[in-house]
Amino acid sequence: MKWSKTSHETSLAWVRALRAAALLLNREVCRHVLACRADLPAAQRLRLERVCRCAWEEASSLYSPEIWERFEIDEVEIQRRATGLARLRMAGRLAEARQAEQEALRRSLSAA
Amino acid sequence: MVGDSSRQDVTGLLRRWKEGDGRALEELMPIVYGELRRLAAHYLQIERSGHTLQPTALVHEAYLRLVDQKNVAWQNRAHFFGIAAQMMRRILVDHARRRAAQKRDAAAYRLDLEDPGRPADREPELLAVHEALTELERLDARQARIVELRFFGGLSVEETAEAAGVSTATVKREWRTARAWLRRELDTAGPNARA
Repeated sequence: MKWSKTSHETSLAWVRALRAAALLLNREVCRHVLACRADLPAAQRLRLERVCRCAWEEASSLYSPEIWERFEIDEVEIQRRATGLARLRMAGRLAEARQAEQEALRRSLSAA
Repeated sequence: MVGDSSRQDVTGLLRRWKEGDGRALEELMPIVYGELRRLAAHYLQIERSGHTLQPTALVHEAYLRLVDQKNVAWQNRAHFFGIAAQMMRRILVDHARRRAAQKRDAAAYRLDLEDPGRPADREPELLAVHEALTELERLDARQARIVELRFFGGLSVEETAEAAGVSTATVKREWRTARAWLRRELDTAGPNARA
């Protein structure tokens, strides 16, 4: 299998893009879970926060800084949505809460 | 169809890059990210009981949706998977090494909606697996390749068979043998080798 410099560079660019995008998606889901689940044990919260931070740091290391301005998470919007969802959990309606959280995430991801 | 406009964007930026715009490839990432989010949303809609997204599967699908086969250098789908596994290994290992040097935890790769933090636990073993795999490459290159495709590329048995150019029966057999060998190596190396 013969590889030109062009093939190698485009291959690397694709894998880098896919890796960074997977990390960003992971971070976004973690932020969503953290916001929705006020009842998470402290150890798990810490772990999710660490995942968010590590995902962001690794993704950042893969590209130059300018590109990252487009990827800030809207924390205010996440918190606004999460408040409504948390009420369901506090009322003990866990199955309904899980479904609502998932639907909220789906809508959030759909809104590109 | 989802991804059609994105695919045109990718084709355009690859053309720009070939014409000498060195920064065009950086624009791949936002497009891939957009596609990944759409795919994730789609899976959340159709798999309500599953709750689990596998980013390896998502990124493969995102790539296949985005790529314009006429404008890429891959010989086929298996070729892409094979190279992606190698690159992924390099990126993950480099990152884990930097992390180890900083004595901090590494980032997660898999994504699980029920417990998105869980896969982060997988990272500490990554360097140990990489080192054992380097040793296995000397002993049995085919087995090592199969582990690389499965472990770092996240490929299924069928995809691994396609990428490695062997039968699925061979992949299953070699994967079983290689896993047993790796387990012995990792047990011998002990927990300090996994930090």
